[in-house]
Amino acid sequence: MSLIELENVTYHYPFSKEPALRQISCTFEKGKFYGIVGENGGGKTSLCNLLRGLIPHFYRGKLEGRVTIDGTDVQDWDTGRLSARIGYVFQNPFTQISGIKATVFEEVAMGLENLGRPKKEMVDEVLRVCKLLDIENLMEKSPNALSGGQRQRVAFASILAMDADILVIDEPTSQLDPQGTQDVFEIIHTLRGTGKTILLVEHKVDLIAEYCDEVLVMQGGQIVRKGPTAQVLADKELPQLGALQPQVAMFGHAMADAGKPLEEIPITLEQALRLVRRRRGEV
Amino acid sequence: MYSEFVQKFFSPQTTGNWFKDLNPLTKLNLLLVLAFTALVAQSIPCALGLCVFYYLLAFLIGEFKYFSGIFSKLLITVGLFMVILRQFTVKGETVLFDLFGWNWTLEGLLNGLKVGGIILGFSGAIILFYASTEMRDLMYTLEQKGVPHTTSYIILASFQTIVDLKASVQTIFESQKARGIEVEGSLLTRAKAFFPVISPLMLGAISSAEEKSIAMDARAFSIDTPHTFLRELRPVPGWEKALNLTADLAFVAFCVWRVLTIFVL
Amino acid sequence: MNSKGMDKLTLFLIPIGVAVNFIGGQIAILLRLPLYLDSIGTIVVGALCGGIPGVIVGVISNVLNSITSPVTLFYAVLSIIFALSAAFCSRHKIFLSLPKTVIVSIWFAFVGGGIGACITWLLFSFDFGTITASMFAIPLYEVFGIPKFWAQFISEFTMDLLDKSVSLVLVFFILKSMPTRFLAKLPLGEIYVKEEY
Repeated sequence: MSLIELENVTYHYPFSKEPALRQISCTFEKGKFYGIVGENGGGKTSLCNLLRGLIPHFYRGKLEGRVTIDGTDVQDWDTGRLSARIGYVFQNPFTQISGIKATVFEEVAMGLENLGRPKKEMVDEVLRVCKLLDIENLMEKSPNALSGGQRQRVAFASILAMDADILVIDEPTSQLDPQGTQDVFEIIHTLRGTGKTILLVEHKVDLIAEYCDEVLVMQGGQIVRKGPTAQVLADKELPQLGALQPQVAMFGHAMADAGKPLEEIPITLEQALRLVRRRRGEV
Repeated sequence: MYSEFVQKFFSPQTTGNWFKDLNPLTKLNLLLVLAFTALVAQSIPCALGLCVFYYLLAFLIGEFKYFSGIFSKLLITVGLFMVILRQFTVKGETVLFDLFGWNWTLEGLLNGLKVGGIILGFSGAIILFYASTEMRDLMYTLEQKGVPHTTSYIILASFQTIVDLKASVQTIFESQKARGIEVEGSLLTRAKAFFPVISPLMLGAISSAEEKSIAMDARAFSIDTPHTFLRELRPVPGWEKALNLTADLAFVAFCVWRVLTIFVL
Repeated sequence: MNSKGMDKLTLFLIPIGVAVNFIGGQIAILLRLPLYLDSIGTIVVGALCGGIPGVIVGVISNVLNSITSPVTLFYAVLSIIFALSAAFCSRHKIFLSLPKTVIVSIWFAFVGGGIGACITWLLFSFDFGTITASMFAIPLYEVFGIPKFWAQFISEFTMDLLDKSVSLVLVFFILKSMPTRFLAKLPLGEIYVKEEY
């Protein structure tokens, strides 16, 4: 049994004629890192909202089909319980700070307080994630006085402290400056190999290429491609599907079109360099 | 093994000041007793005594500057104003002195001092409560008493939201001005400028409420499990409970005595 | 008041309602308007989310105001009536029409000014109290010989009529400009949904 299963899911936001998700069927396996790409309005955030249980509980509207998480229908999940299973980080670093805690340390501990964890465990866990995400120097600061990138790191820390086994990350860098973006990339790098199931929505396709096991391409509320990262990102039709293609993949296609194909279509710079060297007979 | 900052969470939060370290509800109870004593007593000496006491207490808890900043303003806008106002509204016989043809009467003065004193006697206690108590400590105590944590969130978040929105008002105001919205001119013109300022502000705030609700949900905000607290206050000692009870009983006795004197006279 | 009993979005709108009450006054000062405009948040939340959330917004605003002006606590009762009235008007679709909105501002002014005057009257030992109202009440009493209570009542009511009519017209436009996707999630939001998108 897969961790998350979607069967023929169609969803309409309230008062909306067009469905935001149409006829989606797919599964997500435990421990894998999934990238979700596609054009704006293609249904990426709606899919996140669905997996987070926000659809239909919070957004209301009309949900058809079946979504199960860990074998239980999402409609039957208690939203509170579900939030402990699925961590969620999204774009806006400002709204993810509670605004009611005096220090970053307390902010990160808030989820654990809500879960009723004993104090010792709480403190150790907060210290652990602060170290992991390299925000120990921020612990005593007020979360309301941080920069966007710092806040986003605190938001990640707050979610990681709760140790949910599924993480949904929705465009975490879209409102950050280059330094903040770099910081978040490092966090995502850290998350890989923690055994968590991760769904990352991200426009920066190079990031997807580097970290994800599988990629989903969404367009018009449908999943138009799903498969291993190398296969999906190398797909020549990717730009027509409204998704960005890694530049090195475009280069690979151009080489093939020019009659000088590489052994395979590269998706990361490293891979491209290796293929080019091999072609030139250097390796 | 923990840093000093982290270690502090393992013992109850204290400030080292005996009054500030009382339980927030004890402080609230004691100060409300004083506030309502001023209302019930309706006497000038009592009100004056209370005002002096408030200043003294504010000094003792190291909040003199904060307290007198707010209270002294009230002394003028309420106390002094009431004394002057009553010279208009209370028609007395006993002329105290003549101020450029304006006769000041004893009756007016006494009435002004009494009413001003009552309001100040009430207000001082409330200001002192806020001066000596952090809102998060009050909310912590209320949560311990079974008040839902959502209440704490609402109240504590209100403070931060005010700060945030005040900052955006300035930004939106400037940008709307730059976009040519008339913010000067006749009353009507200026009133019309209100909407383009408050509207984007409200829409932005509501959209952030939506996100905040999702973000807090991800932090197990709506889970039913009993909460634990990283920051804790000391348990209420027995003598503090006794102090509360004594103060409350004394206040009830005082009220009874007041009612009796009113009906006997 | 718990997360189950109250709509989730409503809960997070309450602090915003409180803040809007505060910044209404701040904008009034920036624009040099002789108005308080300190109940807009209470009325909007009352209209969109119902009476109880509106009452909470109003009471918290009064409590926060009491930090610098403790007497405000006694006027919390006005905020409570504003919130309940706003929810009532909202349910009866009054805020959908500008003329009706302007007419009900008389009721809001009656509460704010009239009942407000009664509270002032009790609090200040059956005589004039607040500074601004007294500016109008003293001439009414001294020059026109109107009894003190009525002088206070008339001056507070008149001042509030101006304030509340502007406030409610603003509320009307704020409600009108709400995007459907917010309205869809609020308890009384559907009243203000214009059409499907």
